[in-house]
Amino acid sequence: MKPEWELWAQEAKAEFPKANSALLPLLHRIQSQEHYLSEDTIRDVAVLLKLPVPYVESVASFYSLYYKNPVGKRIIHVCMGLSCALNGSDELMHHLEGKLGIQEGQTTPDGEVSLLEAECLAACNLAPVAQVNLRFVGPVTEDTADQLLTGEVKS
Amino acid sequence: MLEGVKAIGKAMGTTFKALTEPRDTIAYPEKRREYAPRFRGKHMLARDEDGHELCVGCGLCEAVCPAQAIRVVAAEAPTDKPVSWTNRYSVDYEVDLIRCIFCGMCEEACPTNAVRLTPFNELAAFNRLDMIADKEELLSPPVRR
Amino acid sequence: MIRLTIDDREITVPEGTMVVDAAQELGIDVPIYCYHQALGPLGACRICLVQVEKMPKLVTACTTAVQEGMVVHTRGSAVDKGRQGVLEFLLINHPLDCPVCDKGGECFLQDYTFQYGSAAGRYDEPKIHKLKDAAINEFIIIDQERCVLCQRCVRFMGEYVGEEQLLLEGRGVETVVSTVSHQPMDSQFSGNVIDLCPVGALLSIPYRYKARPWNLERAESVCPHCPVACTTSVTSREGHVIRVEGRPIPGHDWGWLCDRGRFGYDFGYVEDRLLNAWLDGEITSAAESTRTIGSWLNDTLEQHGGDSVAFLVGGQQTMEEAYQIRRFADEVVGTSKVAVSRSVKGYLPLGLNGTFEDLDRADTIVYLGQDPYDAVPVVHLKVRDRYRDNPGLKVIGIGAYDLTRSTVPGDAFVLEPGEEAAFLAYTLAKVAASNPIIARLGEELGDFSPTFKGAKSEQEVETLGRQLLESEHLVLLWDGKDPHMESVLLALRGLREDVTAVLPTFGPANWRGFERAGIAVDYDRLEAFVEEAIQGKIHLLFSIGADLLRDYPDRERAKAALAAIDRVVSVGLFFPEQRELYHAVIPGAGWSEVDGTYTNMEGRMQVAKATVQPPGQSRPVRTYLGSWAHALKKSFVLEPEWDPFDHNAGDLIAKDALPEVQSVPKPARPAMKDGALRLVGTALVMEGGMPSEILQPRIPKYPGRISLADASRLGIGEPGGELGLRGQQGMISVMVAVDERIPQGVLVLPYGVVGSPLNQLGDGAVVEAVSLEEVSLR
Repeated sequence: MKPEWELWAQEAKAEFPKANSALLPLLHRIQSQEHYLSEDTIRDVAVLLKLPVPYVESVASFYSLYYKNPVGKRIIHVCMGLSCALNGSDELMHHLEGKLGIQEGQTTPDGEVSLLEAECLAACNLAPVAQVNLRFVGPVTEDTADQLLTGEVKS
Repeated sequence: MLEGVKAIGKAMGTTFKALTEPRDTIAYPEKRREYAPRFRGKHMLARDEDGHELCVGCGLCEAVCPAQAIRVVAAEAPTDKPVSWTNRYSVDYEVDLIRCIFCGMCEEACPTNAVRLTPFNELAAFNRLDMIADKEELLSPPVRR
Repeated sequence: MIRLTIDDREITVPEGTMVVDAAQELGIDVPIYCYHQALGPLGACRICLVQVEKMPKLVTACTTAVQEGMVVHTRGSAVDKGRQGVLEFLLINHPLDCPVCDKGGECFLQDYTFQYGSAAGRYDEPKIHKLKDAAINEFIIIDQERCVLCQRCVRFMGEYVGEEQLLLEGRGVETVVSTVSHQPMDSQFSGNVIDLCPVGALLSIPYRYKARPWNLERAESVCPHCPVACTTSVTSREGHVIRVEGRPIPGHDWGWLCDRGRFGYDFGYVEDRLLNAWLDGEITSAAESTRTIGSWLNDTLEQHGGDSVAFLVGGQQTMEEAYQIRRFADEVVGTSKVAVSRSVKGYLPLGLNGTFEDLDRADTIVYLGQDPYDAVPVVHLKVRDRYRDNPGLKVIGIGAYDLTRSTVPGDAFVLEPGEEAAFLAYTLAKVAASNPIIARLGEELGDFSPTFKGAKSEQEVETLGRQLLESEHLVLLWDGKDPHMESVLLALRGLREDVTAVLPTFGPANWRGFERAGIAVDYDRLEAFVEEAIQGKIHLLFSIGADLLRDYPDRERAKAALAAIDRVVSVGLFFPEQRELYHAVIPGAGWSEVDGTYTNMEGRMQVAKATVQPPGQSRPVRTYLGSWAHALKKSFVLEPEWDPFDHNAGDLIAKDALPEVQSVPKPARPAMKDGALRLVGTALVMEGGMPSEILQPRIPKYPGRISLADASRLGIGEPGGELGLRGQQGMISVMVAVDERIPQGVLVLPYGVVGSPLNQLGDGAVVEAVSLEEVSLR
């Protein structure tokens, strides 16, 4: 547990009437520092908010933007929704997998890039769409796909 | 007296007539009859192409058997040498062939098509215990000559 | 009360009843996965859809409370179509595992699919694959593909037991039930999720692939392991017990079991089970042993008379057996020496004995000396149940260590070992000194004042005293160790105006039943028997289901007593400890092998039916009694049997009258050298008790418990270590681990741990830690 977390927990709790409402913002804030939520982190958060450990673990596993394993500096989400699937998101995913030498859900060994699936990102006009560190990029073609890996991104 | 001779003559007539007619019996066991393709004889337990036992020991045959002639004991399949295609198999599988009425319900109930009734029907033994077919016996089905 | 109509039948039920329960009362079956009365409504599975007139859509019967004039239809084309749709969704990713699934044949998913489902699925896409056959602890495997996400298991562990060890992980179709941080479940109640699971997702490892429902014979039984005697259903196949399940009794008991009761059924099949008769260390035939023992009995009676024969009984036998033993002693042998082997000295008069219903109504529950979670686990669950209903429940733990735990928070008074009775007398004197009963109670206390480990002010003691006197429904759970507590409890009962109920958490399991069957269980009788044996007044002893060396508080004295008897005959499931002290050991039959009646700690009589035959040469004790009587050429008619349920028969020992209140003596505090420890014995259902191969991985390797301070001083780290102990009467070695609830200077050791006999040193003895070499040299 980092010393500032206690303060963060106080701040998050102050914003809501109930402790469990403070869970999501606190998890986000801690994840932005830690980059992912380890089992120890989850235990710490449970202690901070006086919630049962399984409750925190369930919540953290429910939302796909909480990472339970270490992720890379560049996180690429490829949308697997219907419009994107029709526009070739599968091929895009395979292309990226081949390029990075990793499978969906994995991180490159050097810790640079993580490749993840996403359910519909609600950007069908950009299909097939990807997110690079949560910023929309699309439509992504095989030609422009490589830019996802190298192009500049704001995080 | 004449009546008697007449009667014998009539009887012998029938006998000699029958000599020339085609025979209804066969000289078993030298000769054997052709059975219907779906004839239900002694059971067998089948294996798949890789030699794995198909029986998973679910006991549905045991449940459906109207004569209660089947006993199945299942267990977790050994992991060191693969005997079954899945992780469950039957350790014991016994059919009491004296009780069995060869109705074929076990074959019908089997979800993995492991139990099959072969055409083999030459079932005889000098004691009752020999009429209980165990798993080993069922896995190596006899061939009907 | 609310009147409603279900399927054209009228019923009146209390307000707040769910439609599903109202239907149940009418005998109308509404399918259910997620709902359980103990857990309350959730509405997760949607299978209980019913039609309510004037409601636009189908509603779930488990979340809809009854309303005046409601008209409910539980069948009909709309309802059936709704259920069919729900089942189609549930089955989309359900594997076609039924032939290899242990739940097959008793599975609600199968049953309801058969009843309401469609014959074929319309979903052609590949099924999602999840974790299969993964152990979540020593006894349970999970198959996540088969799970219908009803959350019964998650809610039971989290909400009901309060030990949050299961959770839902993930989202949507990928949701799975999993353990917290993927660590094995270690709750005492983990096995209940197997009974709760309506499908084949949570399955028992010991029962794995053992049988199908049509192979099984079921018998109603009760659990033999502790005095709670939970109702169970014992399942056997081909003469072997292969499973124990909880048997709910509507309105009384939910049918929860602890893991000892659910999985510890294999004691009859362990390697140590006696299958032959032994005479002087040699296997012999049943006939030979009967003849020899008969002649011993004959000779002893001729030479020394009836009173030279004694019977020592274990207290786990059925009431019928107890009755037969007593009659045999009375009528055939002519001796009055029948004692029950016990490890605690306390006795509770029947008039003080409360029931489990008292727990349901309690506003204050006091643990005296023992944490019920360890000793009588299901009682802990009942306390927790009460705490869920009434969060204001006051729980007070009074003992040599902190008896409370987080699942039912309470206030702990941690005293010097063995001072509970004196402390209570002291506390009561503080708030009701003028009362003559209290004055009588405290006559010998002198200048006693308790010392607390962990701060407790005089103020808090006074508050406790008030709570004891003024609470509306007081229940005390007593470990039976200190005989003086009886007087305290009597005094408390005399003082209080409201209900005062005491539940004895001590064994042997059927001691109440023994009393009813005519065998007094007083510790004094056991003490008198041991004394007479040492003096050489007993020449023949029948030890029936008892093990004096294991039970009796002073091992050396027990040894001396047995050694002084000419002939000792043991009848039991196992060899007694130090079998060379016994001249004949013959195999007895026990639980699941004999029909009989048991009385539990609340005085409730329950019948246990036999399911299997005793193995080998083992026989029920009545068989032996009959043949010994035959050897004496006396008739011992086993029939007509005494019927424990016959009210005219009554209690054979009347115990209704409450004894006088005696004064509590001032406890002697032994001098403690620096670094000395005090031993505190306790009954633990997992650590002590009968052998079991199934339970072996769960039984703690380190049964002894010490404080962190003592552990670090003695060099005991994680997970635990072995400690040599020297007391006045000898030395033992014991495996200990750290328990933060134990105060410094105390070592808690369960009774009956093989290899670490507490009674070698004595309960409450001052011991010092010595090196293991020294112990092995003894």
